[in-house]
Amino acid sequence: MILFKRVLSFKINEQKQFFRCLCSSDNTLETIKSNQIQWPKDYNNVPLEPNVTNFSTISPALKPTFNLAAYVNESYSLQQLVKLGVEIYKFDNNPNVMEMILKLDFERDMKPYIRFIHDCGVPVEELGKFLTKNPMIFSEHMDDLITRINYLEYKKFNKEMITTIIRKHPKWLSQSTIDIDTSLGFFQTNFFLSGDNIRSVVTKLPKLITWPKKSVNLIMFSLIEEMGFNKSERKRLLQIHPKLFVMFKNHLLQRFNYIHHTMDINHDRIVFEPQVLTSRLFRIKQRHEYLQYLNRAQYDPTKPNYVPLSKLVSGDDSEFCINLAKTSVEMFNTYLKTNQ
Amino acid sequence: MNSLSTSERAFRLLNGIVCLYKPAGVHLSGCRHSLLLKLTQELNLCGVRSPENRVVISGDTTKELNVKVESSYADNVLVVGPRYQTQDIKCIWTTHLGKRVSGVCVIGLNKGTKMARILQNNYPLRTYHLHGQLGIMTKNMYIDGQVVEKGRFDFVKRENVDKLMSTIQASNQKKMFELANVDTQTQTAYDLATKGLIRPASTKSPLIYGIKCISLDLPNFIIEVNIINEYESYLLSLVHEIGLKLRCSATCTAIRCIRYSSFTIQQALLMKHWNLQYVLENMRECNSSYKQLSELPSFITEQSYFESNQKLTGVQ
Repeated sequence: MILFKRVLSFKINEQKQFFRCLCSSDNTLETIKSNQIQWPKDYNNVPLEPNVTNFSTISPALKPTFNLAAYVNESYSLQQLVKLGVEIYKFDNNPNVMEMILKLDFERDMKPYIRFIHDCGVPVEELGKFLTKNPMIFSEHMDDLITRINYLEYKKFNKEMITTIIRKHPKWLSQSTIDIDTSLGFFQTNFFLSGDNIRSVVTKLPKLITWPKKSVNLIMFSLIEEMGFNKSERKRLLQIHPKLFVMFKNHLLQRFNYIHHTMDINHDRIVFEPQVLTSRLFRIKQRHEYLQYLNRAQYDPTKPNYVPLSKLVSGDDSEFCINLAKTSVEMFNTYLKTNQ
Repeated sequence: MNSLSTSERAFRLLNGIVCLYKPAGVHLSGCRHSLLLKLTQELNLCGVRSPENRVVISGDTTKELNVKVESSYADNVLVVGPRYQTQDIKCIWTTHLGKRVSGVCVIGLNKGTKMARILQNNYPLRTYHLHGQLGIMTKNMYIDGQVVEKGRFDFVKRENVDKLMSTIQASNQKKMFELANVDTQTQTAYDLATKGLIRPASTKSPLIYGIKCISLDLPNFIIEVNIINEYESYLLSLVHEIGLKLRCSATCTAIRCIRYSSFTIQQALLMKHWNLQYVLENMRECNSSYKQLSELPSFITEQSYFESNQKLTGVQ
């Protein structure tokens, strides 16, 4: 009971804090300016006299809110963000971002950052997507950002590589140089990669570098102990298809078990075409069972009527039916209804 | 009608019941989520309404004021989020299918939720195909469970199975009259039987109307059951019991619902077809078949259902 109360009070406190942060942000919106009102001298005697003072600077105070939509009509900065194509509704569940973004002025605080991102090679159309993914970039120091880009240049990433890294993974710029350096070192030592290798992996999937090391280690454990890939095979998997290392472990294991044990495909073939492991299990299952029903499930490249694994999972059902199964799509659909 | 955007017109058509093919291994709530997600995504893509206008009055208060009408930023899609969200569409299913069950699943959308509820209150008959395997027994009575026992099954013959099926059916026919609270030897029982299927008075106890073995290819077999008030674990234990009665053991490998009332597996939509176009076509088809159903004399409309419900509560 006490615990429950504590949890409850904690929640209430959080809520209060949330309100306070929005109320107390004094003069966050640049439209509100404190003004001295000059009342007419004989205001108290003749209240019905025509007004001579300018009241346009006075406006009702903004009330506390849970979303930014309530403020957007008043705020020039938020309007500019909308014009850039930033999806502001995604910030609503994060009070930190809301607080931070309301305190900013577009011309003073945002423009240099946007110009910087644009100089890094992010095209104008993608600016909205970038800022939606990483709004906290405005709270970083400008020198830090320049250092992070310089670090990449020092590590012999060329200009195009840096552009692709930032476009694919906007949160990269919010990571400190030390973190990135240790993480790059982690991959280089664990997988015995050369400089060029690690650069190509990073440009293929920049998310992997900032991914929690705990889950990468879990996948590594699964690949070694549960699936039995050896050192060079793991290295090849990382180089060809780094996406495997950011997957959910159970999904990976389920798919591997089905491919290796039910479809009878050995490790060499899987390493050769690791795209199979990232396609969903029901898709592999459906297509394999249909091919088996047609007696076409032949995955050995040395024999005729060979079905490549990458083609098995890629493409939509009509392509699969025409190219591999050589039947009509209707037949495949009716088969699916009788099978699963 | 022209003033409406395409998505609004499409949303107005989304009233009725759809017949889906639920894959095995996915919970029904997950199915509902993916259906609604896909529908809202497509509704958002096909032209939503533009933001509302707001009146802006600005300028010096001592002079003439500027009055302008401009589109409100607070109603922009980027600020308030997508126009259609999953919680905007009402959606309920008729019979709950368990995780392992695949097959026909009837779902009511928006105004169709009422239709779905009426349909469910009519005790519709379901037909299932139970796939089983002889000679193996598992802890949870399904093939993915831990194996407890393995045994011989080569002595099982077609006649044994058919005999067992007819015994089960006969015992359930007796139970049918028991659940309706009438003696089989009376006039009321005869009157009931002439009206058609005798439906149970409660939704609790399962009742088998017909059971037969449609294929026996040792060790695998398929059983077709017509049943009311069933649930997943009942079907699993049915297969288990059949195994015991045949003096060996059996586990279930798949449960497939092939018919729900008059909705068959032919009109059911596969998961890859759960998008706006196919759902709307399917809905039209299903609504017309629902209309045909509701014109039948035995179909209970809502009013009479409420009356009977009141009677029941009065008795209690």
